[in-house]
Amino acid sequence: METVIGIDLGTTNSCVAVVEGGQPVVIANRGGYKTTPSMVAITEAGKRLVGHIAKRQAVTNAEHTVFAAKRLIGRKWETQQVQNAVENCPYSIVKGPHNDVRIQLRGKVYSVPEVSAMILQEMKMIAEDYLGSAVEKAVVTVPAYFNDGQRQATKDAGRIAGLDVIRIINEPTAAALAYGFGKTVDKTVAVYDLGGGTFDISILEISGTGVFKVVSTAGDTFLGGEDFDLRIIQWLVDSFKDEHGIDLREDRMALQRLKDAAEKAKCELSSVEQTEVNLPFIISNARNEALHLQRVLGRPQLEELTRDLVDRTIQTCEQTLEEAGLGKDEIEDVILVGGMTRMPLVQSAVEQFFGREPSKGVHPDEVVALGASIQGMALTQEASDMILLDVTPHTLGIMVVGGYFEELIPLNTTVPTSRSKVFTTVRDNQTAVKILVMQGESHRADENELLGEFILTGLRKAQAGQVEIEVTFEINADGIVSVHAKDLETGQQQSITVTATSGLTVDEIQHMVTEAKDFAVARRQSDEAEGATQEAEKLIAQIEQLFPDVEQVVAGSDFGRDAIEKARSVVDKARMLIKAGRLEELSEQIDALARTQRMFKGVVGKVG
Amino acid sequence: MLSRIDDAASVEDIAMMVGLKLNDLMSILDRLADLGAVQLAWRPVKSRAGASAPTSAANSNGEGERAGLKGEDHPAVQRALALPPIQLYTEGELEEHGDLSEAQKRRVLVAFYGLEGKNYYQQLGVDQDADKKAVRSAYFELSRLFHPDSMFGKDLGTFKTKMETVFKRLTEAYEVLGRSQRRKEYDEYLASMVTTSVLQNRFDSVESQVRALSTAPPQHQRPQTPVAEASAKSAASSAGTPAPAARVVHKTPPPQPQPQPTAAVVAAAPDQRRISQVGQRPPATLEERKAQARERLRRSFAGSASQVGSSSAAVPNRAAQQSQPIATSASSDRMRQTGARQSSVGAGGIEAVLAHLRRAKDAEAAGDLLGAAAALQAALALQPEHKDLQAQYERVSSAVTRKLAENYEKQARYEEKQAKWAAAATSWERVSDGRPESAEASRAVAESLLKASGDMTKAQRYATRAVDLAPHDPSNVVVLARVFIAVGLRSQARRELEKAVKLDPQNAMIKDLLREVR
Repeated sequence: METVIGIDLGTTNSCVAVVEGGQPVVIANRGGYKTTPSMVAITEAGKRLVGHIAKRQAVTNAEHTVFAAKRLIGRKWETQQVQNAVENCPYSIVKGPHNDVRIQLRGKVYSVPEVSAMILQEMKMIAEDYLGSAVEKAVVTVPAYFNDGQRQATKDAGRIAGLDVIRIINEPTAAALAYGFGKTVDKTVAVYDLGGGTFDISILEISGTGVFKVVSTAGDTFLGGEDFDLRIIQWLVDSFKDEHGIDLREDRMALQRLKDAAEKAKCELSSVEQTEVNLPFIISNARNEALHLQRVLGRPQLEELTRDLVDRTIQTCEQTLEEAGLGKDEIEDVILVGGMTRMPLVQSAVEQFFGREPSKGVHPDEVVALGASIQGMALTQEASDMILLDVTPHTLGIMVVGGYFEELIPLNTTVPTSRSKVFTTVRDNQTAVKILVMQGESHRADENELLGEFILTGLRKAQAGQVEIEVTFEINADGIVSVHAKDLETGQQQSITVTATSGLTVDEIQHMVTEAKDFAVARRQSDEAEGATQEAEKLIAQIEQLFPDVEQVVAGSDFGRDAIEKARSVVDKARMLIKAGRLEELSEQIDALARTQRMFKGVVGKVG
Repeated sequence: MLSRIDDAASVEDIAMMVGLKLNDLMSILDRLADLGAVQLAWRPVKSRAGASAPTSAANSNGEGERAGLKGEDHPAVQRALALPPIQLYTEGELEEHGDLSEAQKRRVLVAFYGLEGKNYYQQLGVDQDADKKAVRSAYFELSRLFHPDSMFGKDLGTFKTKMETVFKRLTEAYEVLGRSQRRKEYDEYLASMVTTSVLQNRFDSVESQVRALSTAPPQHQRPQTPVAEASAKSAASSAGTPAPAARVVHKTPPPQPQPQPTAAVVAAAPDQRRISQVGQRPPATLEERKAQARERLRRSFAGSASQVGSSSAAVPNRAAQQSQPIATSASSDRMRQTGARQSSVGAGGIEAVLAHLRRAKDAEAAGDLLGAAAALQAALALQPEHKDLQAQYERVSSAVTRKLAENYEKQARYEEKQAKWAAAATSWERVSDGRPESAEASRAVAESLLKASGDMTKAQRYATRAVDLAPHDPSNVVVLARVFIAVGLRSQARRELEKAVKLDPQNAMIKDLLREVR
């Protein structure tokens, strides 16, 4: 039976988990950390770095280190959010061929799903190292408020990373799964998820028999920890400008340092009342003098800078309760998810709004990955009787005459769901009908998000109004939209061409998949090489250390001198193989080294 | 029908003899069995099919939940999926390819075809007074069986869409019954549909008798003709008045010995809950009926014509016929009898008329319009030429029609709120027929049909009528324009929109639409 891993692909940090022996566990990476920064960098030498190692060199390599790619995934170029990012990010964001967003690193242009795929690939390898076998299937999480384009792009990222993403699941829902797993919980709960880049609030009904039903969900896909950081950065930049007349944001390295410092300060202020931001040699002025930045930031100051952000989340909570048709008193538990919920201001705002203390039983950074792994198990194991009923967060509709938006599937409809509508021709011999499909809540089509133009082609030639095509709009359990059409007269499937989406084409994805596979193989080999080299070097060092003592002991006999001769040649050969990079032979040589080392130890021991 | 139940005739036979649709017959029989009036072979007395005796039907209220019963063991699930006595799916469907066990396939097919004609409570297998937790528990356990994830990774073939449809319907039912406000509105809607149907049927019965009077041949020519005439009249009148879709075929204690066009059938109280349908055509064979049911289902699941799941399964425009296809010798005897009595309107007659008039006045004062109408009809029967009586009757009859229109309007607005456009269109049609002078009602029919992607010819008719009734209201003109656009008559749409612009120059939407059609 195949293992399915659960991946929380976060804006700032990612996490991977798997269900082992009936229990979901988070898998630590090689450094022993349970979460991995969602960062990717290309060094000057052209080497790709992912995770902690990318973060560590972010300051010196600011222009070619990507963070918060999740804020860009599945978005169109001319949206407000993307333009904000272009302004504020040290790395290069450029326009792509489908009006989508691309990132330029060391002269090469990557699509956003490609970058996210690099992170997913890293998480995949972490899991494989732990499990000792290849992993092919995964459940990947997304913010509940992600629209169709963003979900589609995330699934593409999975495919590029060589994963079969069997389900895309909403982050708050995943958290609720982890919360309710293994317990006989029978409650209506609210999940407040404030992560690095996004905010979600979901209301769920959990039954003791293992059914999890989402009642309503709302959120903001451009409101998260990074925005809190930005407020601090803004404050630092402004005060520095007042003092020295220089805008620190002009310098990418300074910007990256500011970012690190702001994040650190923000986190510290969750446990202390005051902290210092200290950045010496932050920039040189016109006279080439080194300038330093040193400010003290107190908790009240931070709260003032960010209060409106927290208020926005509370307003969204109100909205979603209203849509659920529930009162605050009907919420029986509140679950906090995401690193930002550690902030005292956030905790108190939530407690005040819901009128109860949030549940302490879940780990805000790990709960989403755990939930994802549980869903993976529930789907693939027949014996599992857990069932998840999620909803679509945005209304699906089409544009109609006059530029108005006609609703087809309202928001918070349980998925999977579908709706059919009959279309007809308006001119004689019309052979194609164009349908603009969109998601959003405005009654004007141009204020909503265009998912795509679906063109029904090859229609029968007939008088206007004679051809009837039944178009079915479907939202599957991933929350992804698909459109099918059927000629009602003939019963035949109608062909549809989709244009004007910002998604990658099938060819593009295939190309990226191949590249990613090459990288995985190369990376594996280099990993193995590194491992072998390290081990060999360790053994050699130990042997060298013992050499003088051993020589002293055995030099007296012929046998002894022989042994030493042999030992020396083993070590020399090993050294040569390391230098030549002949890894397979090195592995064999390691056995010989190990024997030698044991023998030496034995000799010395006896004398000792 | 009761007379047909003789322990030998099968349900199909009875349906054919009595002229009822099978599903409706089953509902009536079910209800009778509930009351203890009949015993059904497939339904063990006092307990429901499949459930264990003590924790059965009535205990879907929390009992199932406390016991933690899951999936098929849950009492509500058993009720919702109880096998109907006739199989609505074909064996061929059962054998279609799909990675499910036969029992699972059967379950999907039973649920899929069983959806039609069931109200939300029946779909979830709960009582009308079930509490929220019981409703939720029922929905959750049914979801377990029909949510696609329960069969993740399997190739379900044709069963996939069927399962998804079942799940969608169940979710729809839950989203209404699980919210107190929505449930309250739905309960009112259900109750209103019942009372309105009762009202409509009784009124139709009275009306047809009155109409029959005005054309009835002189009394000595009694025999069959009045029945035939009456039935022709009622057919005509009911064809004219759009389809009160459901009829309560009931035994009214006749206020006077008048030949009833309807032979009596069934049940106890006038406010019987179950509604049956009198089909007009000779009943189709079982296969035809199943095919018809499937066709209706297919159309309704195309999304546009979804019902609100009422037990009466509102069927648009089926002019129902009052009379039974069979006149037994018993009834014609009765008619001859009353005919004899009829001819002696003498002194006793005048007193009787006055008595009826008094009754009518009292009824009207008490707000019982229908009672007043019935009493006036009785008076008219004794003195059909009396002009004043006729006038009185017309007055009361109009009042009843208006009341009915009010009820239908309430229903239509509820259906609009639930986005059930096809049902709303039908209800608005009835409103319009009760208020032929109302442009708003006519327009509403057209608008609902537009939203339901329904019958555009009808939409055009009603939209045109709205414009004729109120040509200076721009909204009527706009709706007509939109209908023209929908059928591809762009130049006519443009003409209407140009008129509309003159009537309401500030309206942005009109300008937008005009731009589109230019």
